[in-house]
Amino acid sequence: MTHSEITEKLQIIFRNVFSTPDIQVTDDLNAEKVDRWDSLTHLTMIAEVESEFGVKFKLKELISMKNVGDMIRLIIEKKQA
Amino acid sequence: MNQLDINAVPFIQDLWNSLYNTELDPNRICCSIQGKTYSYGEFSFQVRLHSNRLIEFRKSNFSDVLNSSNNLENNEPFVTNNIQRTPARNPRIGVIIEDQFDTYCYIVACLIQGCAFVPIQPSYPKSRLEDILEMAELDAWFGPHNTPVIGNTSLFHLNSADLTSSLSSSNGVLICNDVLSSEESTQSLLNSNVHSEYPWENLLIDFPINFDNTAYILFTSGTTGKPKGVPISYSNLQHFYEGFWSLGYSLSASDRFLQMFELTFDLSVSSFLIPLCLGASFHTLDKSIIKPLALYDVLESQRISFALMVPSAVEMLAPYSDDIELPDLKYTQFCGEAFKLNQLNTWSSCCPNSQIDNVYGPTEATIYCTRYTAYPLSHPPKQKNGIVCIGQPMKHVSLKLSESNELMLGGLQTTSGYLHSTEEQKGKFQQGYYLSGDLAEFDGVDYYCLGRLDDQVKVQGYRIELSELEFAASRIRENVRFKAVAIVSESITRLHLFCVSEKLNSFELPSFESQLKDQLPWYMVPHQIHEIPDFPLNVNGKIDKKQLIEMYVKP
Repeated sequence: MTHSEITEKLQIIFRNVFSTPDIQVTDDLNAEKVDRWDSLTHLTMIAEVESEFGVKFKLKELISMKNVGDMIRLIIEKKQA
Repeated sequence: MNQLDINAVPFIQDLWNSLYNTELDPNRICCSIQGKTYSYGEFSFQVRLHSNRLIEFRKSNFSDVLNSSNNLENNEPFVTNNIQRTPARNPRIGVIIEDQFDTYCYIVACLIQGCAFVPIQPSYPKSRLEDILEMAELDAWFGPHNTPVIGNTSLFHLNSADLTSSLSSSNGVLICNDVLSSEESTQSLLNSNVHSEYPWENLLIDFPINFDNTAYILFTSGTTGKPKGVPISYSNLQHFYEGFWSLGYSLSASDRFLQMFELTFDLSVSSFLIPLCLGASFHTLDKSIIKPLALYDVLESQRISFALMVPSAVEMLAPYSDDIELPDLKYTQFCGEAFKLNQLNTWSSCCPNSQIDNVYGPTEATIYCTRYTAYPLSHPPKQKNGIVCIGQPMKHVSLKLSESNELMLGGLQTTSGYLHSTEEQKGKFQQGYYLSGDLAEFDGVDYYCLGRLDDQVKVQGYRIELSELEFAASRIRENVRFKAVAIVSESITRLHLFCVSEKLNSFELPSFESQLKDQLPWYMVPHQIHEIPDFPLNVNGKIDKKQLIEMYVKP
């Protein structure tokens, strides 16, 4: 799965979970830039991403994720492993 | 309490000893704030700096108070700074809170100087700040670096140049918004003799702490749409402190405490005050990480040994419980919300080395006032309906049940009453007991909290009166009927607001939502707003909450 394919799928999840239909997912997107991205919706989003891509993040990986780009890199890594 | 020596508030003496005992190493760790570590030397230096500012302020503005504080019989009001005060009133100092090192120094300086600190959250909506400021009657302010400061109408849009005029109209004096950077302060620390210039005995003799004086004022949600001010006295706080040490924790200066609470929340007070009085350290969350993850990050990376947390934090970490490993955690206290059996089981399996206590209490009874040790136990933990019991009153607390089984909180931790209380609010205090609004049961040994008698709910530990949300909504849209409902799903509480207007779809939801955000603190903003044709009613003609949820909320 390529970076842009993942981005596309994430965009659908993000628009849905954060109830914000105009979100444009980019690598540097993070919680500060989305109004409805808080501690509750964050974990919902993570759960959705895990089930969409069939991956499971470790707590430490979640802590080190600073933006969507970090998440995409992790997804690619996990899909290849 | 007045028989006690007013110069000897024991917890203040412990605090002073941690900060200024010259035999202690000034390089030991005092706190880490968002990942940056500060020593006791740095902390005590800043506290002394701000203490001196407070002393100067009191000398120039409160000299009348000093002269008459020796004679409390004399209840004649008198005038300082154009405000009438009764002699027993100590200065109230607003502290604009940010999760910064300076904020903690301001607060500790206020305590050491016997002033009342009033934490002010600058991100609160303007109307809420106005209500709070009107009630708090602040005498002076501490504000952080570069923060635009407030006047009598909470003008956060003001720049510093407008400061003087706005403050003078509120009768508040800005004591400090210009502190040394930590590099500068470390330099000054090296160049000065911290301990000699102001011996503490002199300070306390200048400004004796009266046990009945207010130590802090916090504001909680009120049913009438205005926040309620809860003043906690030095006596209340001292008795909490004694109660804490009677719980049998084995703690020393090498322990590391979690401080995960916003400073407007009283659980923060024990989270920083207990470690400071002990000479231990406290550690706050890294704000760049999203909250439940930041919590785990600080517990693990700072090797926290004592953690006071809200149960919903555990709930959010539960899916990752396999990854949780916290061998250094000795004690976990849960407070602020109902503590559920499944949360207890999750946490005890994640942290088998940690004792787990459920502590309970509203702001009115000072931080918390009962305790139940839920783990480790030789028998299954006591619970009712899956909610862990709240146990027994702390040392200076007495509990009883009203005829309607409302839990009543008495004893020396309970506040004497709200600021400017209404008749209805005065009715919450009866013969020294505070009517908590919590429905409870007593099994002869322990107490159980079964829920609320009113519409108060908790969102991530924050107290919310649903009627306050409805009230704020109806101020924005006068001809609309509102019903606020708290819905719990997977143990997470979310607020939903239902709106019925005369003409459907005439509501203009986005503008309503943004106006609501301007009036309410973040935790009170509804998760979802539903515009519906009409409310379903039950047989008694009341709004049927259950049906409302079934009809309009996706499970």
